[in-house]
Parts: sequence; structure tokens; C-alpha cells
Amino acid sequence: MNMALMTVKHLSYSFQNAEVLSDLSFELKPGSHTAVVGHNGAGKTTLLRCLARVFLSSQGSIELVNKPLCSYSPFELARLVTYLPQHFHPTFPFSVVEFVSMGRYPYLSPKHHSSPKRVKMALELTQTAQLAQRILTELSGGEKQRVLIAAAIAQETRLMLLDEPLTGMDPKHQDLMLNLFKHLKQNEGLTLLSATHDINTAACMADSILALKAGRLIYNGETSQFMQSEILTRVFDKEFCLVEHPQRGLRMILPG
Amino acid sequence: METSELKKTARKPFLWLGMISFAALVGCPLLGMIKLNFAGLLSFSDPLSTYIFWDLRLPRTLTAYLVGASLAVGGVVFQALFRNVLAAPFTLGVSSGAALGASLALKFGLAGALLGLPSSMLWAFTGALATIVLVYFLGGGGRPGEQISLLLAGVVLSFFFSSLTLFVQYLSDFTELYQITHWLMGRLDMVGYSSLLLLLPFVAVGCLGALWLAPELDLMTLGDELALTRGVALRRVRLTLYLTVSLMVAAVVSLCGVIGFIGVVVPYLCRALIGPTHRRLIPAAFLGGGVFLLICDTVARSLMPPVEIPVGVVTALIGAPVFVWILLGARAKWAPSSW
Repeated sequence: MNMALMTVKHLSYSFQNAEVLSDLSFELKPGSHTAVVGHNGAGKTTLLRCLARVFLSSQGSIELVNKPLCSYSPFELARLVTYLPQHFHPTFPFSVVEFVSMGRYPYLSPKHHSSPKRVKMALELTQTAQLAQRILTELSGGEKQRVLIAAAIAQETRLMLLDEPLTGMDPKHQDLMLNLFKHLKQNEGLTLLSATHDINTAACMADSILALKAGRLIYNGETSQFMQSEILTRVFDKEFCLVEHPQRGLRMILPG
Repeated sequence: METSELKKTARKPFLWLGMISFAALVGCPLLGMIKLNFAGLLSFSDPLSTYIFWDLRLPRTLTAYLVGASLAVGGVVFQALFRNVLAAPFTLGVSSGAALGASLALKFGLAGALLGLPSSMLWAFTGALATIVLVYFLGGGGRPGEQISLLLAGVVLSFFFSSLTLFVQYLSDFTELYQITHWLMGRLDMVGYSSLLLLLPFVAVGCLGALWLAPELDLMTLGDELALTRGVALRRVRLTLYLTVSLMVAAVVSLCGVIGFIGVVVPYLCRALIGPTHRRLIPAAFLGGGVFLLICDTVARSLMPPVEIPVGVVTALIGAPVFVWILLGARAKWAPSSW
């Protein structure tokens, strides 16, 4: 029996005859946090959308808990996988608590989708409880991002796919979210896959890295191994200056 | 605020809308060009008053209420489907298809009377149905991310059918032209109990279907990605809503012509009053749309006796200033962040 939560084999995705993802194979272990890195247009968002079944892959297979992804009903899939999009522009003036409650949709009867306990917990974990009655369209970018994460937590899934989850957040809230991801991983056994263009963020939060270049997987391994100048140069076509984090012992890149 | 207090506050707009609806449904049939003899009406001793009340005004009142309610609910649903507060029940060309059907029937005297209703209604419904099918297939069959194609197909077909209607009008003689223009203005003077009974199943299916799928509508307003990953069977839900609501609008437009403004103004006002959650918004729009058209129709048939103003004209004449007043108020209140 395969112990991986998700197994991807030879995944390809084409859009208008252009191959965006090409022959990707990897596994996501339960309770792990994997970061997808790569330059702009490398295929990070497309990969997450394929794994969330927003896009249907052109070739290859994706298995979730030993079953093909395509065999799940929308409700079943939404109880296992949640997705946080990179861009979110709400049109209608829902309040924060109404929006977060919508994360409960796949659980209960679709006609009564609210579960106050889990919603309250999600708001508290993301420190958005004080925003509960605010209108979604009036929030700042960072606040909106935290509310999106709260909605994903409210959905109570086993796999969370996060596309640039820390966009627009100040350092304090970035730190809060990184600790929250760690908490969810350790205490709830949640598996996370985060796409990010920020290598230092990836190094801080992830146990392993998937590096994409022009839709191809060119690195799949531990984060500590990834933070080496020759691998980084191969992925990003650029020389980096690496230093050791004085407290965490992680290798980080310096700008410039 | 305590939960019970919140619930009370949430119920208030519905209580008001319910009471206004009740008052309008009772009061409007009593108003009109001819003054009713109430004593004679109650004792059935005055045949004229009895006839006017039971056979003319009551079915018309009930139809006006249902038509207004349907158009407002249709507006709410299309606005959610297209994530655009300016979308209206007629955005996808249903009214233009119906107008073309009715114009052809009036111009060429096409047969097809049904249950005592004129053939123009049946042909208008046929035109609306053809538009629904054409828009759906040209627009990509409601695949996720295809709303823009659907919208474009609707707008293009709407222009095409409107041009054909103009061409039919151009070819028409004076009498036919008057009939077509009168139809296009929207009116409720042709209705009776038979048309009300024909309308009822379409309204019931459209409004109850929309209410049943209210949580899905909430999620769909957030965009396809979030709706799909929260578990909404997007294609099936979109097809169901598109068909049931379009058929309801087709039935309404075939019966009463093009009555504009309700589908945009009432959803906007209801959203401002009770918020965007569709489980509450749809019933509020139903009540609000019903009252709005009923009052407009009462004004239309009472204001300039013996002439009856087309109700489509009155809805715009009342609705537009109200809408502008609200917009200006909102701008003053929320500027500059929201504008």
C-alpha cells in the first residue's frame, strides 16, 4: 500500500498547444510541507490547479489516498483538498465570517453550511476574529490573505494547496502564518503544498522543495539540500549569495 | 450583539417587505381608473365592480406581483452567475429573442393561440427558447471559466435579434408597427387567470430552484476556482440555474413584454438592505420585485385616465431616480474608498 497522500506520475498539462507542465512525478507524504518554487511562468500555479482539479491534466495520473483524483465527487474531493488562489477579487460584499463559513460547504447538508466551532477556531488561529463583521471587499491585501487561509482551515481537509500564501502580509503576520502552518502540520497532520517565488520563505516553511523550470521538475528533495548555490543557479539562472540564519541554522539568500 | 438580537435584526427587513407586499396585494386591486363600489363588491350586488375586481384587477395584480418577483430573482441569479451587479435577466438576449418572435407573429399573423392567449405570446416564448439554447451552445456550454463566452454570445445574439426586430418593424404597416411597439414597451393589460396559471409553474421552478441552490450561488460569486474547490459541481449547477431562470424569464417576457429596470434595481436595493447571502437575498428580491412592479403597474393604469401608460415606462421612470438617489447617497457615505 502506498503511504503517500498524493502521488503524481508523469503529469503533463497543455494549454493552447503549449506544454505548461511536462512529465512531472512526485509524492506528497502525509504531514509534510512542500514548497513549489521556480521563476515566474514556470508552472507553479498551473501545477496547484491541476492538483486541485481546477484544471484537468492532459496526461499522466494523480492519485489521492490511493484513488485517482478524477474518481472523487466534488464534495468528497473538497473534504480532502482545499486550494487558496493567488488572486482573489471578491465582487459582492460578504462579511468575513460569512466567507469563512462557506468553507464548511462540503461537510454538512449544502443547505446549511455553517459550523460555528470550526469557523471560530479558523478565525482565531489566523487572528481574523476581530475582522469577522468586516466586509471582504474593504480589507487590505494582507488581511484578505489571512481570511482566505481561515476559510481554507474551516474547510478541514487533509491537503492544503496554497498559491503564494504570504502575499501582501507584513513581517509579523508572515511569521504568524508560518507558525500556523507548522502547528497545522504537527497537530492536525495536515499536508501542505505551497507555491512561492520567495526562496527564503520556502526555506523557512518547507521540509522539501519541488523546483520547476519551464514546466519541468528539476529538483525534488529536501530543503537543506536545495539551498546550495549550484542548485539555485540551475533553477533560477542567477548567482546567489547564501548566508546562515543566526538562530534557525537555515541557509538563506541575500538580495542583490 | 447577542444571537437572538441579531436574528431579530435580520428578520426586520422581511417583516417590512412582507407587510408592504400584503398591503399592496390587498390595496392595489381596489385602486384604478374606475372607482369600485365596495359595498356592492362585498355583497356581489354590483356586477360591474365585481367583474372589474375579480376578473380584471385581481389576476392582473397577482400577475404583476409574480412578474416583478421573477424579474428580480432572475436579476439576482444572473448577477451571481456573472459576478456582475449590472447583469440583468435580459442580459443574455432572452428578451430580444422573445421580441423577435412576437414581432414576427404580429407582422405575419402567425397562428398558435394557446388557452385563449394570443399567438404572439407563444411565438415570443419560442423565440426566447431558441435564444436560450443558442446562447448556451455558442457560449461553450457553461464550462468553468466560460461565463465571458456565454455573456458575449448573449450580447451578440441580443444585438442580432434586436436588429432583426427593427427590420420587421421597418417592413410593417402602421397598425402592425403600433402593435409591435406596444408589445416591446411591456404591459400587463392582456393578462387573466389563464396566463397567471401558465406563468405559475415557471416562476415556481425558477424561484425555488434558485433558493435551493442559494449556497452554491454564494460560492459562485467568489469565482470558479474557489467554488470548484469548495465542492460545487459547477457545470451542473450553472446549467440548472441558467435553464430554470432563463425559462422563467422567457415565460415572463412572452406574457408581458420587456419590463426593464426591475432586474437590476431591486437586487441592488435588496443587497444593500439585507446583504449578499443568497438564502436571504432571493426571498427579499422576490418580495421587493413583486411590490415594485405592482406599485408601478397601479400607477401606470391609474395616473392618466383613460390612457394606460406602458408599465415598462413607469418602472424606468420611478426606478431610475430612486437608483440615482441611492447611488448618490452611497457615494456620499462611502467615498472615497468604494468609488
